[in-house]
Amino acid sequence: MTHDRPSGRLYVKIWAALVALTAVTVGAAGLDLRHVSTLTALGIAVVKASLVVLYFMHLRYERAMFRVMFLVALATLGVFFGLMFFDYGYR
Amino acid sequence: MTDEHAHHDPLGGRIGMWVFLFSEVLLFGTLFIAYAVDLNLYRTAFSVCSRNLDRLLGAGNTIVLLTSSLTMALAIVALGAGRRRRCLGFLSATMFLGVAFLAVKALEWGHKIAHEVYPQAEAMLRRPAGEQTFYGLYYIMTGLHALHVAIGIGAIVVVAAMVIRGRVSADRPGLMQNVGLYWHLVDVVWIFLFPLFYLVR
Repeated sequence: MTHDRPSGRLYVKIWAALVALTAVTVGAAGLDLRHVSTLTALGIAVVKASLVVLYFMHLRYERAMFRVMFLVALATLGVFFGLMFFDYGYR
Repeated sequence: MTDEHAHHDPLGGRIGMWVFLFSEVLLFGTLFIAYAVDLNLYRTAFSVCSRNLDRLLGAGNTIVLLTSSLTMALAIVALGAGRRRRCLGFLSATMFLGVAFLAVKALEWGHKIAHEVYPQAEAMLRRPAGEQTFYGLYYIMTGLHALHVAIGIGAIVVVAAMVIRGRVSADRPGLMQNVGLYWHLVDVVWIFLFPLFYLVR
């Protein structure tokens, strides 16, 4: 490990934030606002996933190389998404 | 002469795990792409079907997995502090939560299957295409995810055994860290599965 791990206490705080964000997601879905709800729910999911990846998976404390690798993987997936919609969008 | 530590490469091991996780991201990612297209095609049907999924069970399972990620992280902290019993306690909690998740999933699937809501069921084949697509994606994506949870539980059992035998310790935490990474990724996948199947309106 390049740096020391966060303390157990920080992990508990992250967990609490994740649970709170889950509650917000469920609450927002109850508003029945169609596309806004979907985007909100996805946006919150991205925040939750970021917390898990950065803290629980330690990416925030790893050397920069790991973060670059991770972004390359996400970009690759993004390319797949993009190509699919270029295809599907013009059929 | 063989040196037991000759091939001990924690950094290399961790890089390898991350590369494997990237392959998992692409595996689930392409399924999410299929979902995105179908959500666009069958928006109303997806909304109808989503209401038929139990939102409370889904939210509950989300909390279960989030908590299991916490206990997994705390197990690693305990290992680093040399507190073996504590570590094993947290690993057991993680396993228990994983099994609880699978139990709830089995309950949900069983309920649906009992009502003839599964791919190729007679009643299912009479439903509109959009609904069949939703449930098809539901079973494949939550099924693949559940398989990953089950494998993760198995991996945690193996790590726990190695902690007991002293093969995984504060000096050699790599295997547990890697299993932790895998477990957290399974959690991340569910973080996206939950709203996309249970909260579509």
